[in-house]
Amino acid sequence: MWPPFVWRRAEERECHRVAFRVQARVMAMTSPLFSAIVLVLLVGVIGLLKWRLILAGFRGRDLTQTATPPGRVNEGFNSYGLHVLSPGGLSLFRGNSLGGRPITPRVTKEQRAEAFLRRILALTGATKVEGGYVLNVGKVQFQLRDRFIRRLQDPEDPKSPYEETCFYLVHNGMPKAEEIATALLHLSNNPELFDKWALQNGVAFKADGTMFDRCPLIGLR
Amino acid sequence: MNAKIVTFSSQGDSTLFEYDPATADMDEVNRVIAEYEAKTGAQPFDVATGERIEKITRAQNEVLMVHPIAGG
Repeated sequence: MWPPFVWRRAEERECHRVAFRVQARVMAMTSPLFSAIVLVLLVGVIGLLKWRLILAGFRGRDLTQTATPPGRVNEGFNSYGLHVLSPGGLSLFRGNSLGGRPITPRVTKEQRAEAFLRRILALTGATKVEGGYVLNVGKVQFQLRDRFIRRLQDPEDPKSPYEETCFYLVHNGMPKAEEIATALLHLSNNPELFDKWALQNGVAFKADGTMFDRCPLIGLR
Repeated sequence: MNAKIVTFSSQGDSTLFEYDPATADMDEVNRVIAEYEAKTGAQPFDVATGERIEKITRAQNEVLMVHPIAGG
């Protein structure tokens, strides 16, 4: 008769042996299956990558061959087919350096402002004269220079009386050309604004002649 | 072709937003414009004619928000 602790040890050993055998069998069965799954997955991923690379190559060729005729710049659309606008509404991708075509120089805000001012000059009939701008509204002539306006009652008469005032935009930092364009639009639509600017220093007026009481610069000048 | 609302700013001319005039809710466009005017004092001008407009319609393709001017 074996003592109980010896009998328990023998039983534990037998249990371990059985468990090890079962584990070994499971391992022997699953490891080839697991390897096969991993292999299939790897082959699948490699195949997918190859396919994507080939597809990307074809798409790139299609874009260069059909979307942009040779010698022409693809205006407005970048290589992703997106319409990207700069603050001035100009395409940022006009000169596509990736396509080997010449790069259009970047347009500065001052250049865009000048271009916009030319549009406003054409709209209002104003002209550029000796560094200033002349706007005729009825019989009255306004002469604008950097933040400075002169009003002539009779531009034909050199001895005609005139009034002068300074002006400024309530929102600072605008390019000079856009300040002039703003003043031209104001005066061509509402020439009476000149009197308000001249008589009420530091008070901002909207284009319709109403006072703008939320002027951020009130009290600063 | 999209219509756009532009304004002059310290960054030069900037597009505030664009919309399709054929399908856009013009009341919503005018509501946004009114909010912008309340905040900045800028009023809408039709860039095609150079004239100030009370209300933006589907006829306008480009609208410039013109900021207030002060004398001094």
